[in-house]
Amino acid sequence: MRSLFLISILLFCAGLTVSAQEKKKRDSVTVRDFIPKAIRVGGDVVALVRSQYEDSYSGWEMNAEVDIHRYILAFETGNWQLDLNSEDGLYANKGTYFRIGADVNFIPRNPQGNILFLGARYGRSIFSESLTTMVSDPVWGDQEVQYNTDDANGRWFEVTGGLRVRLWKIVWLGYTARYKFGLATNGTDTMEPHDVPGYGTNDSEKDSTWGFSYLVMIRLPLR
Amino acid sequence: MIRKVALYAIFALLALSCLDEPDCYNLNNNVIGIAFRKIADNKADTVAIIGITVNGSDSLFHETKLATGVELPVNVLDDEVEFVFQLAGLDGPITRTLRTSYKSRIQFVSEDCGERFIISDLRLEDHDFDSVRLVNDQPGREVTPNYGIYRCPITNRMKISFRQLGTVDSVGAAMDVFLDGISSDFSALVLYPDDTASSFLLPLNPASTSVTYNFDFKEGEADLVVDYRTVNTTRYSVCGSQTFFTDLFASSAVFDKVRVVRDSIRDPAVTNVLIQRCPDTNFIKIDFVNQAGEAGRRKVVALNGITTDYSAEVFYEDESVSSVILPLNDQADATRFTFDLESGPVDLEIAYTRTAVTLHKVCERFAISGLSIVSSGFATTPEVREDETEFPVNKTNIAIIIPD
Repeated sequence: MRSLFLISILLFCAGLTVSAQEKKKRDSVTVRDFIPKAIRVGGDVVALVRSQYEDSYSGWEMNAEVDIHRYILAFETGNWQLDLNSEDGLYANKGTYFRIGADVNFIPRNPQGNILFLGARYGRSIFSESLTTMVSDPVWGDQEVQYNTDDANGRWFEVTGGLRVRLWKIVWLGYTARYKFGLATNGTDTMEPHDVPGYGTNDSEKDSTWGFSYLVMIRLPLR
Repeated sequence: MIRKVALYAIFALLALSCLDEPDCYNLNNNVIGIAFRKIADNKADTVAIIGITVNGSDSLFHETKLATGVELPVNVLDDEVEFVFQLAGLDGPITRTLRTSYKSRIQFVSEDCGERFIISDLRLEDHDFDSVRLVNDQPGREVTPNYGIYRCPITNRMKISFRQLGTVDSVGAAMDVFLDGISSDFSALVLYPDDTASSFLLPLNPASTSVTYNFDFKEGEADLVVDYRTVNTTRYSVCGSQTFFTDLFASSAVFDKVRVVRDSIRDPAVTNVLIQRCPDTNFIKIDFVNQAGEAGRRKVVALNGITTDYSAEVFYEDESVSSVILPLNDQADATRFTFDLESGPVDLEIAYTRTAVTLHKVCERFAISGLSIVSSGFATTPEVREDETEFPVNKTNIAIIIPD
């Protein structure tokens, strides 16, 4: 994970260098124009890199964003699965998720069209979990147990922030940092979810978690 | 501007990524807290527990202890548990049960910690205590009360205390008595068999207005009669109609003095009846010192024994002491003691004046004063330091000088 952060720093700095070399000019448009200007589609590099290098993780995430004036409509969908081993147990989960939301661009007059944004997301996930483990109890003895949760679903909210930087022609880079909270799940009567695809680790004592996406995107103008 | 924001955001994420490791300690919350309370005042109740068992396990929890609350585990692989409480009652062991249901969910925590179980939604299913309340349906990782077990007031439990009166002390000091047992005229049960204590809880008979207790001491028996008035009333609906006891009156032909200090029953019990023993006014304290006067320090003397001229009893037999307390003959004006030292027997005759007095209204005694040495076999004549006796014996009456 740390190497991904370092890569993101380097790529971001490269983007800033490109944009700094271009001449600043003010956007002369003052009337709000709510006709979509462009659509960006791309994928999360973090998920791909983790799938490549982490034996326990497999997943992907696709993103689509539509620029409307200084607002950005966002749709994200993905899939991940985990296979974890503890000393006595085997845990696995698998699920598909999507997030929808919007961001506000705080630098709409940036000459290169770069974006610094804050926004919000609503996420939903459909997932399954299984756990096989040996329960050791000094009073009731040891017993091997297996739990399965099928067709569970969860929803949550996110506060997002990040950057989008044009790297070269239609190629854009960016990252999204996510503060995730308000997780609620259904169909989890016997198992409290350990990990909800799209949300991440469910720690009932924190009631929130963080996420990070590093995106490579293609921008397609719509007008 | 953008660069600064970006760097701050990235470093914040790096820092937060280090906080993801969970604490593996005490992950389960499968321990239920139970607090014992009294209905009357909602205060903690101290319960004598013989042991608590849990269905499905042969373990015995909280064996033989006094407690105001207990912590009990539930089976994480089940959804219901029955606790069986064996409690110590005045009339013998009492069995009470409490059955509760709950929801148990498992959660994988991490590869290092493994799994944990989360217990929630406690629900009281059944019990035979006076009253049980669900205080908190979610056990915590640190145990706090989930159930409150309330008991109705015990209305028939009288407390008696034995006291040794002093010469001037009209309340007296707690005095242990050695019992073979206490029986009553309305129950075949023998309470406190082979027990030693200074106070006892005794049941009153709700079907009568008087109880006679027989105290079987190691050195003899004595009766105590307690008369009272009963009132039936409902103070707490959950407890129903209860018999309350008032206007206690106690008497005995054997005990020196019997006093009712509280004529109604409290819960927890407070002393209702004091059984007081009259003071012994004929004891004197004799010190062994290394020289005469205030400068003399007490010294240890090896004794084969001390005898008197009025009884065959031997005091301090084969003991090494620096001070002795001995009874004067309260039927005569002089007493001769024989100190059997390692060097041989030595006599000491003490004269005194006896004055008949009545202490604490009931204790017919002789006040002893004017102690003097009539004769002495010791090389140096003993000193009289305090010529009056008192009880309890605190002051040195006579000092026997035995040089180093």
